[in-house]
Amino acid sequence: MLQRKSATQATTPPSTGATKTTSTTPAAPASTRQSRYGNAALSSQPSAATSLMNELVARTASSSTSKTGGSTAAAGKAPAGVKAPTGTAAPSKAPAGTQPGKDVYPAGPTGPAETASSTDGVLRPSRVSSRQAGALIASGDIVLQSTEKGGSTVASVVSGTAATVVSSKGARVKVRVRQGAGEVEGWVDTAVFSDQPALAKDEENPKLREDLVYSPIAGDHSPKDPKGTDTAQGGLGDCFFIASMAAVANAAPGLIADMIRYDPQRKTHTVRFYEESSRGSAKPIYIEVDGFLPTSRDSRNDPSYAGDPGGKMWPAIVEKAYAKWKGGYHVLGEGGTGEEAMTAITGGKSSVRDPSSMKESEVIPFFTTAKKDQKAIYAGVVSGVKSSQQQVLRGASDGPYAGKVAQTHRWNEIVPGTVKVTDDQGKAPAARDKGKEGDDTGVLSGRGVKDGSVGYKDSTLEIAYDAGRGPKDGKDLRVEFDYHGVVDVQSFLIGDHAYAFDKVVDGNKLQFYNPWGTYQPKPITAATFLQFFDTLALNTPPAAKTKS
Amino acid sequence: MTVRIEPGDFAPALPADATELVFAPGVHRGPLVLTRSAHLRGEDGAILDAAGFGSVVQVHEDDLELTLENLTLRGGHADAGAGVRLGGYSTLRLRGCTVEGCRAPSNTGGGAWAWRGTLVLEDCTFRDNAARAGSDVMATGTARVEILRGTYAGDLAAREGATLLLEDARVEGRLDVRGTTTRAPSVRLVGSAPAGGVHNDPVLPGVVAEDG
Repeated sequence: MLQRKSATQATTPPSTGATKTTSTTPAAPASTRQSRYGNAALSSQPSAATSLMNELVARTASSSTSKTGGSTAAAGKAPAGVKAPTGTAAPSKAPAGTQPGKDVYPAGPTGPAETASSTDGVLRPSRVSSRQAGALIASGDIVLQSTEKGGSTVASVVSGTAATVVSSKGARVKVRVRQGAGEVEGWVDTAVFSDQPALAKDEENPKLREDLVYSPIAGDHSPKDPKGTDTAQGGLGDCFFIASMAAVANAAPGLIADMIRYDPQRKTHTVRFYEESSRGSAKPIYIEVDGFLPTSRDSRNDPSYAGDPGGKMWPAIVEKAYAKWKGGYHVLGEGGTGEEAMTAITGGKSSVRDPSSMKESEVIPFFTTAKKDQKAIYAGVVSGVKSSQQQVLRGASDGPYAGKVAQTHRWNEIVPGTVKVTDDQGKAPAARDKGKEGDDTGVLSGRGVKDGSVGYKDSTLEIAYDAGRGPKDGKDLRVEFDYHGVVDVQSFLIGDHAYAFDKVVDGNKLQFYNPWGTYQPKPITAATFLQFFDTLALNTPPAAKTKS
Repeated sequence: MTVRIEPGDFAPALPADATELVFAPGVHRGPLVLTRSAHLRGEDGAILDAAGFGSVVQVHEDDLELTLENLTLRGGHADAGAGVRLGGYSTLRLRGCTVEGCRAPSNTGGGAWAWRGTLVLEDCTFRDNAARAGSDVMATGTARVEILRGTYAGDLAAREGATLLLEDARVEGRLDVRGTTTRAPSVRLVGSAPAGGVHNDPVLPGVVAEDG
């Protein structure tokens, strides 16, 4: 259902080049931002999505300075001088002397066993294995050759090109890289291969990874004064993780500050997560990442995934480390839950409260108490909302009857599999669609239904009945469906999206932070919360790490 | 104490002292959040329907022993586990149940999602469920999921440090197994070969054992 890059790149703001240092919007292209659904409403209407994001960010980000400036793709160092591996530290094992609240960050390699050296800010694996993800990073373009010993040129790619290992022999590795709408394979020196998480899948062509490149961001990005508003989701459908980071930063900024360490010698960041291996136990996991982040080819200072609404890059570093730990950005794009992500970030216990079990009078006191108790609070919005019955089909006799249902917002679309056409007078048979998530169109069928179709994105319907089975009057036909997109226009709540709770305002309304980098929706009442939120997860960060 | 539940909205007012709940035929509107040990049994034609709002059956508490029998779960729509969501260190057993039309389109585990505890699916039927991965069942975290017999029209998935046992079940979709850099799931297939194949991710492949 995610349809990001190819559909949206056309609307990506033109690149201002590698020397760009300022931005009036969050770094990632607005049109690539995703709800946890991937939000077909946004991706299929890129211009609308762009305008909405501009509308959103205009309220919170008047101007920001990119910290990614300075370095360019060409600044990636040559592999010469890469040191031999110095060890294979077990990443799952807490370093000696670790105590709750007094973690000692291990020196040297902490990621997968293959990750070893970083003398130039690029993590190079000590060995490669087939299907391993990474990127080709050197001081200039990299030539892929036809044989392990050289041979003809298969392709020339820019530094930072994402690659997957096919095989290796000696100091040479055969890699597969994306080129346009296809892939090519060729041999390169193993020394140019760097350890990077696999990119997300291209929604237009899921057999390929997204057409992004790894670009350097220089320097120490460990946060000094982290805030939930530092976070901004990019073109990855991981709002669950971004919202979780924001929720924890709101509740325990000190924990966020403590979870990221920069090593000036290795020019890498090490990020601490926690892994729950059994009941009541969460052990620290340390993941080392270098300063390369996925960007588009023509805007190599702007990260394509987690962005930098206020020039803060720590969310992108944490996102990258989480992706590396879990197996790639595509894993985050697969989705997750707030309770999982917050436990991984804090090591504290997560709990879930089902909003449908709450009374309206409980809501504000519940959030007030949770905020007072310094709990990180994550909330998710229902994806599909039932429409009102609509009389929009026009025709005569047995049909065809055709029409277009009204949507409450221009982004909204019909949820496949939810359409029902009935006859108010009971003459014409009922029809339903059999569409599945991701379909653009579907078929309306039922006994006595000759044929019918529905366009989920353009909200059009057409139906014809067997002889003598049509309604007495087209006005008798009622159309019902679920829609997703902006599920509450008044407050601007995005369906199937995750939010971080911020605070109670005016004593009776809830303010949430949208991981797209803005304070949306507008403060909502307890009734609106119960009407539209179907997920509520809380996390209690360990007390020793909550102070800034 | 046994209590018979008539169709309609039931979630807000389940009797506090009931240990056995019998659901009469018809549609019972959920979601159903289980907070104490109980045996839930459906008379033929009993349906639990979340009506598109949240997971049909949710267990977030620890130390519960729960059994659902002869029930149809449908209409769940959630960020994970739209049919069944097990997040607590409890044991949840579904016996002879049908899970259908449950969707987690932006996430994993449309039919069932287990993160902690033990989920046993015995002689169950899963169909028409949707998710980005594991459209029928997702076992993740530290959960143990046992699938004994039954029919699964969609996909299964195992992640993180989960344990998945698949015994004499018919799986029409695929089984995806993927670990992290620090742990891998453990999967055992006994007399069950997913028609869509078993797919191991390269990061840290799960350990898949096949017995017959």
